[in-house]
Amino acid sequence: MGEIAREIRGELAAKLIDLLLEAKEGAKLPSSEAKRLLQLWSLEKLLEGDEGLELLLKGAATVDPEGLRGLLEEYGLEKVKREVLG
Amino acid sequence: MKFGIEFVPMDLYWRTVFYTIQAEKLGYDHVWITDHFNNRNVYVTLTLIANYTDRIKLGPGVTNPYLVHPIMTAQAVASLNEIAPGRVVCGIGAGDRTTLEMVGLEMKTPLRAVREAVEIIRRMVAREKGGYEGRVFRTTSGARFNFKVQQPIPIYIGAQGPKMLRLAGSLGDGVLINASHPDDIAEAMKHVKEGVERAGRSLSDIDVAAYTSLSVAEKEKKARKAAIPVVAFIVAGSPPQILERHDISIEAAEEIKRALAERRWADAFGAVTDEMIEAFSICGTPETCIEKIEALSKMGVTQFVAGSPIGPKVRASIDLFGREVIPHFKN
Repeated sequence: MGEIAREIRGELAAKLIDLLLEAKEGAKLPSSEAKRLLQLWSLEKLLEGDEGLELLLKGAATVDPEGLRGLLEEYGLEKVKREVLG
Repeated sequence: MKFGIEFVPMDLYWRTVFYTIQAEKLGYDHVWITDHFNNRNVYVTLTLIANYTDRIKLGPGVTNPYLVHPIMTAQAVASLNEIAPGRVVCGIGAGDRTTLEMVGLEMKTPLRAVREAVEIIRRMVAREKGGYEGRVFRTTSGARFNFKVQQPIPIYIGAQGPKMLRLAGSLGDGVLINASHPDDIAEAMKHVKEGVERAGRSLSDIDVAAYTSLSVAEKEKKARKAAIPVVAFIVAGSPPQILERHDISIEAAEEIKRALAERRWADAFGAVTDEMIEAFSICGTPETCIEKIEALSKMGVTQFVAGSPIGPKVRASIDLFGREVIPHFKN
């Protein structure tokens, strides 16, 4: 997560949320991750902090890997892309 | 003015809950979850919503007494009330004839069925002793909960026709008027007021909710485009007198209905006109929506329910409406 600059985290998180909400394969998101996502969202911790961002990245990699690839390339986050998508 | 939002649990449960949490943060007051057997279960969805929210009021919008016996509706809302004390409401209406027929149910005496269902739900929640002897429903004195319900559960009656609107005015804690256009709301209000007066009540005793089809976006064109599919279904399901009120030809509506039944989406959606969008949705930029909601408010509407589609991108539209429309009425 260190590679992701503080100033882009909020914007990236919002885009990852849209990716998750609009993914055709949204049902692939494991129930445990969906519940944690809702918990963090209700506690205002989804858009801030490492846990929220990690969860969003992991979820996006599961439900829409191609969309995530494009998004990380758009932000020049090559290292994160390798870590999350292999 | 209070603000509600409606979700159809066709989508994954966590998305509906996500949007509701978002709505709560933005100051929406109510969330209404539709109840259709072919979607996810309304009370499972509401239970999850109750679990992840703290303030927003929640309830079925609406259930019906044919598919779910009122005693089970009472049990469901009473149980939900334990998870979200004081936040539970119950919307009930006659249901949709076509959907009921799919499962072999006939919509017999809808007014009586809804009236009796409301009375049974109230009696059950209040743990009243003695059975209920209705013409549609009967319970014996043994039909009582083994648990107490701490808060009252307001019952809203979903209505469109004059008789059901009058019943809602006379019996409901609220009425959910299934309409978006001021002319339809004005017509509905006449009947609600009649019901209120007949029962010796005052209009201020009930929450008058306009259960609309909303499509809000920064750009008018995008909002209109998103409204088209929902409007097509509304046009197809509207009775002739409502179509006539808006100068929409019955033939045009029949053509849309046929196209939808045959799943010719492009034909159905392509036949939706601007007049239809105007008649059956609140559609446009936040400024346009404010203007239209103000008109409804002046007629006595006390709750605006943002129903499907909400907008081209649901999250963005919930946000836009919450940031630019709700504060106009709350501040």
